[in-house]
Amino acid sequence: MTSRAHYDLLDPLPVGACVVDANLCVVFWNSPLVDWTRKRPEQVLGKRLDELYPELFESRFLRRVSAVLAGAPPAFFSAQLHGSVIPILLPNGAARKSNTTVSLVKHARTEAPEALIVVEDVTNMMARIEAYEAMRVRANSELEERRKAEKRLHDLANELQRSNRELDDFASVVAHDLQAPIRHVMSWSEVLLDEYASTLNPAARKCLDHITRSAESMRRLVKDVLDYSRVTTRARASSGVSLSDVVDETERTLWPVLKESGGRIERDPLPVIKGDPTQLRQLILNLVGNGLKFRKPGVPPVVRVSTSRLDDPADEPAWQIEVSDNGIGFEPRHADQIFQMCRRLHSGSRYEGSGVGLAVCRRIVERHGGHIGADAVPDVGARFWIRWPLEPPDVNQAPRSDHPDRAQPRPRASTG
Amino acid sequence: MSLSADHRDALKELVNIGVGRAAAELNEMLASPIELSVPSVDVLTPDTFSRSFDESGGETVSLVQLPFEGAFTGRALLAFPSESATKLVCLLMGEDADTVTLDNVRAGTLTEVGNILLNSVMGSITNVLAAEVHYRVPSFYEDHKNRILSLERDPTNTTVMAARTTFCVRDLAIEGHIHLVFAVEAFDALLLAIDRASAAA
Repeated sequence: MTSRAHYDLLDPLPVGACVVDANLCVVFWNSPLVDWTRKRPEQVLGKRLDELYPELFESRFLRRVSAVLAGAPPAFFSAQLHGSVIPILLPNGAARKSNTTVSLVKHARTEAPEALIVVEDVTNMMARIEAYEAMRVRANSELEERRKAEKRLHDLANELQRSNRELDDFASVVAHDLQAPIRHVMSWSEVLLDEYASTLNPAARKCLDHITRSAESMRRLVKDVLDYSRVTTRARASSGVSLSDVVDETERTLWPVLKESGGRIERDPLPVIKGDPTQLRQLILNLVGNGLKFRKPGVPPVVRVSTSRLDDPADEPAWQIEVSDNGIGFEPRHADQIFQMCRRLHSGSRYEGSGVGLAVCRRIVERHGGHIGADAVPDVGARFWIRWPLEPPDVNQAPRSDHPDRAQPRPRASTG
Repeated sequence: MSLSADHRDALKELVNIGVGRAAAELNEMLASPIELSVPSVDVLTPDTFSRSFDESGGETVSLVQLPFEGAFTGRALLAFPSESATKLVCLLMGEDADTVTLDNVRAGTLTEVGNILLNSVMGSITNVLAAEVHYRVPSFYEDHKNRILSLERDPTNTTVMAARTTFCVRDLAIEGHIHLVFAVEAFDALLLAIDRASAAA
């Protein structure tokens, strides 16, 4: 068997394989190497490897191959550190990368030492690694951009929160401090009416009536603004609150209106829910009060309070609280506007109010992680629904406003 | 055959010669200058061999293996705790750790470093033995150290020559372990060869 025939077994392998003798002359060159190097066997056989690739035969390669021929262990040349020891090309002429292993073999007949050079094309693998690396660099830079954007958003949200807090505090302070002068105006007007009525002519009395009514409107508005700001400045921790007790209390508070209008509050059995007790009372009072206020002329108002459990698996479990009435209702297209601050659908002369009550309701509900909405049919009635989480987020906040609600003494008429 | 202090010194010298040659070879090839030193050479039983693995730190071990057979049979291993392997490849290739965690990048680079180191050490040892040894191609694998130990633990009597090697690259010391696992009789043959060489000197 000739050496060549002996090595023919290596021809169909999917790796490049060549054999050199002790003088580094090529004795075998397989088909993949023909394809990859574009050198046919007759161009390489009998030629020294360093004649074929002079640039490659630096001492480091030659020394290691010579050591193998002298009996040393196989030498391994990685694609990472060498690219490719024997230059091999892709069909488009670009360089392939390869791992090359040089092992000692024996000539089939003479047993003379020969070196088998196996070239494993790892171009695809290296390309995948490079693609991965590029992807990683891109992903890292995108991540960094995203982090920066999130930080900007976070800073903005903090800034917004701070600015909202300042506005709340400002509204709270202003509303609080306005109460005293309004009370003074009202008190002094009463003093005038009580003690100097006989000395006033009808026109002056009419002017005084206007002053008293306007002052009363202003007092109500200031109180509502204070209520609105206190939703955040006077928040209390959540605890179990009996809705049934809340409705009882609402009924007691609104008793004069119920009596005067012949109205009533209906209810289903109501659960105990978690929330800020004061705010829950205010929420129900505002909604029920609204139902009684916007009644149809000549029709006794009926306000119904009911609840149901919402157990949608895709959402947090919650209560649905509904407050519906048989009042004048409103156009459905106004359903969103009614929760805006100072937005009123009906004229102030027919229905008293500041337009703050429902804004307060929305603020309370949202602070508890819920949603509030409404629908209505004009002249049939309105229905308010609240999605109230079973476990509201921690809403315990210490009151931020450091000014106490100072009770202003009623002014006394100076008779001196 | 018992191991004398002279044997131990001779073995240490042989490993040092091999590692020194490997350092020269690596320095010629790599961008980062690399210094290799051999702080200790020990001869271990399979049990103490396991313990030396345990002390190497980390759970995963990267291993380059060079099996040999002939006048004497065994395996030469270069083991790195996985983190040291990553650090070494990063330094040699100037890549960052994320790419280097890719098996193929690690495998190629570490196989070549291991190949150069183990070849030099084996060359230095077989020089004194003047015996014909056949080698298989080097291979790389990485696994939990317990699984590697169970693969490496030979049921027959074996002796392990363990050389701690320190790679100093850019002021960083990275530790690797060269283990030469011999059948007992092969190790005895090595000691005899050392005796003969010292007698001839």
